[in-house]
Amino acid sequence: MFARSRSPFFHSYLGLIGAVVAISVYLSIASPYFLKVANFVNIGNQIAINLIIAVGMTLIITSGGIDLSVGSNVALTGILVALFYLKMPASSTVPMVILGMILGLATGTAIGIINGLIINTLGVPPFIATLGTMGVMRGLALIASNGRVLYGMPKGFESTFAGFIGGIPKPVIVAVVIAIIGVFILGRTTLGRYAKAIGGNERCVRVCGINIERHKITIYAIGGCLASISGLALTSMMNAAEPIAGNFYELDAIAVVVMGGTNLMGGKGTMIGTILGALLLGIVRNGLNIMKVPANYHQLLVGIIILVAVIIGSKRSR
Amino acid sequence: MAETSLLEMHDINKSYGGIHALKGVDLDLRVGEVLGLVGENGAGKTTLMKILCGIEKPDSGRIIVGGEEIRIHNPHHAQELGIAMIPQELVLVPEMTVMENIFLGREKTGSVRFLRKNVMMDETKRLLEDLKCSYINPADMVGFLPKADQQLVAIARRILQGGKAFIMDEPTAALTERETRNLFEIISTRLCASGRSVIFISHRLEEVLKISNRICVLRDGNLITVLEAAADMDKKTLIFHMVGGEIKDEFPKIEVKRGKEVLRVEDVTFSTNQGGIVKDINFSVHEGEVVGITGLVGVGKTELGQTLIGVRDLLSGKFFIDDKEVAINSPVKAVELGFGYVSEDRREEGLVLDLQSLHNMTINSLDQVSNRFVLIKSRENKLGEGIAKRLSMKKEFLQMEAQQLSGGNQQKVVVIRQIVSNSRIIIFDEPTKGIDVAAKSEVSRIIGELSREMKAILLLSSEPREVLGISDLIFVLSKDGMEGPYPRGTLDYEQLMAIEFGAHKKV
Repeated sequence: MFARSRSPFFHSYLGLIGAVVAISVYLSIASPYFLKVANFVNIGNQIAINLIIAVGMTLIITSGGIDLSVGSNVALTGILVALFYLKMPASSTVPMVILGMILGLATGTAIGIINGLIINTLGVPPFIATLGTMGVMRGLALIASNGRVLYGMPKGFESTFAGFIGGIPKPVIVAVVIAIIGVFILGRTTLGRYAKAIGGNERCVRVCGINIERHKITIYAIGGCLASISGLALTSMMNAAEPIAGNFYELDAIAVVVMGGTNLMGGKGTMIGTILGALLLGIVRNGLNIMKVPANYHQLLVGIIILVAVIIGSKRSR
Repeated sequence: MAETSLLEMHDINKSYGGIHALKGVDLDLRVGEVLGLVGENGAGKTTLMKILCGIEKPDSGRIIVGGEEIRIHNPHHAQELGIAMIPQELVLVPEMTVMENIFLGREKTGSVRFLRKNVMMDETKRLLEDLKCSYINPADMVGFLPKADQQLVAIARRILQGGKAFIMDEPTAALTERETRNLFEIISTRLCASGRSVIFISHRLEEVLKISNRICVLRDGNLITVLEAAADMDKKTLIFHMVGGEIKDEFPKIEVKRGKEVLRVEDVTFSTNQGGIVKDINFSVHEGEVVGITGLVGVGKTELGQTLIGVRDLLSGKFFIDDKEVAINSPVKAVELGFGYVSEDRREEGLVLDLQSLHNMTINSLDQVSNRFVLIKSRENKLGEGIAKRLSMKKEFLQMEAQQLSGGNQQKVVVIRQIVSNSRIIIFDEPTKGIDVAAKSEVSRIIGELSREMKAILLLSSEPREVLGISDLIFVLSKDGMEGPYPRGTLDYEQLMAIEFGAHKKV
């Protein structure tokens, strides 16, 4: 007996695309602000910060893991980079600005590697391992900054992510590039294939003699690195580093990954779905603001929309 | 009928897909008897018992319990009817006490739903006393008890639930000889003497002969015969009925002249899942040669394979590849050394079910279809199409997810993975288990193809026909150790069975 063949592209994502279009059309009619350039920049930046993290999260969840530490990663990256700029001499020179950003990326990547090592070498389940590092990294950010917001970073750093290229906000460009790389990694590389296989049946992959540990650590490292890019972008856009930045970012990332159709238990992942999920969540958040829905209702409505998207998605994949 | 029946099954039929697993089987269980149930793997014992326990529904047939025709809806319903399954892998909660396990789901409570521990404790003690095992402390954690005592707890639990017909599946597999004797005494003096009956399923024919009042023999889904009383029951008769006459060519052989030695195993010792130890295993495999190691289920064949690919600890002994000693401590290392492994457990260890068949085939040879990092899809597709053509497999299968394929095609995917990869030594653990005849012969043919490519092949199988059909050299593993090698053609089916069951020594 032949089961239903694989759905073509539009069929798989029809629901999400439809929702994004419908809400956009509704908002552009209902609110004079929606189509304004300033609003688009706003939405774009918001989505970009989330999407950069969600790309890494897609890879991690597809491999059967999860990373709760990405929000804390954003904060710690920002704080360490800010401290570097504030404490180092001649920090406004171009080489030092670049060095600071490399330090940021190294921080995030190191956090990812630590997660991978705790999960693989010590055998701690991903949820608990990253719940632990989430607390540790947030704590380090608070201690390092003494709980204060840090200001006064060099102009060169601020201009890295603030501003536009060809009329498009820089964080959006960064997010688009990362999303494209993400689509490529998941669909066209050995790492993406291993992520799906490990998430689908780790025991099978193990007896095939594949070095699961190495691939998993790489995947968590990528997730951590992307979180730190998000952290750099956020710090640069606000020109301030907050120890409480990135709070709940991990949950937003997980939400859009699952809304997009990636299986939370691993094995099946879609980067396109994640991109659409991030678009949907960003537009809904923006819509609630510009439609002047009272702030107390926002969490409730966002929660409901996430649930509906996931329920429809899980029905479809059956 | 002189004796009354506790339950009867009439003309039971059951098919899975195209496979007719049970063909009009009749079975009756009399009050107070032990009914032995024997047959080869795949003869239909498990399916028949699953139907009785409400796990599977028959396609047709009648079941009569206590004189009344019954349709068994689910396992819970079967339990209410007094059908008590004691599976080989006991279903107890190791972290709970003996008493909590016995009363699980039927806890006694007072007026405000508080547990009445004292009442349950007393009843547990009485139950255990009835079973002549008052030495078991009701407050002990079940996980810490020896296997034999856990089994008694499981039996006590079933008695409390009102069990009348006890189905015991390989109950002695994990027991020592003394524990087995004890269990037999409990069966005859405690269960049967009080009007309960037992269906005793086992591969250990001596034990079946010793404990049973009657023995049913199943073969290929047919009830072959019911042997009455001890007089006309002996092991030879039993094996004769189990095996039958005709043997089809399910397992075609490709003859290859063997090359040099690739793998040598010296004095290898490892533990089994049942907690036993298999000692001093010696054999070698040459290029182009198929070495078959057979023996009953649970004797340690799977564990031997696991030891070779580094997922089970080697307790002592040495492995040599190309006459050089090697240490294998992980599958990664094993694959580096040239091993390939086809697990007995297709769903748990063989396939990534969510992945396309093609992607399953290439999963441990991605270096062939990528430049280390980037996959080259055209190369991968071409590889798949080539394989499909060579093995006359439909091209559409390649794009289908593994979970959409039938068992036989799934197995082919797992075996093809070994064709794609460059392994030199391939271990097949029960490669044709649970697949239909056509797929069996195809998988055997693929194994033959691999030997023609001068791969060294180790076949671990409890299917005697498969071992006889495609091995060049046969070893028989039993709890007394490994016998052999028997070169191809020097053993026939009955001789092999006799060695497996340890009957040849007495003759």
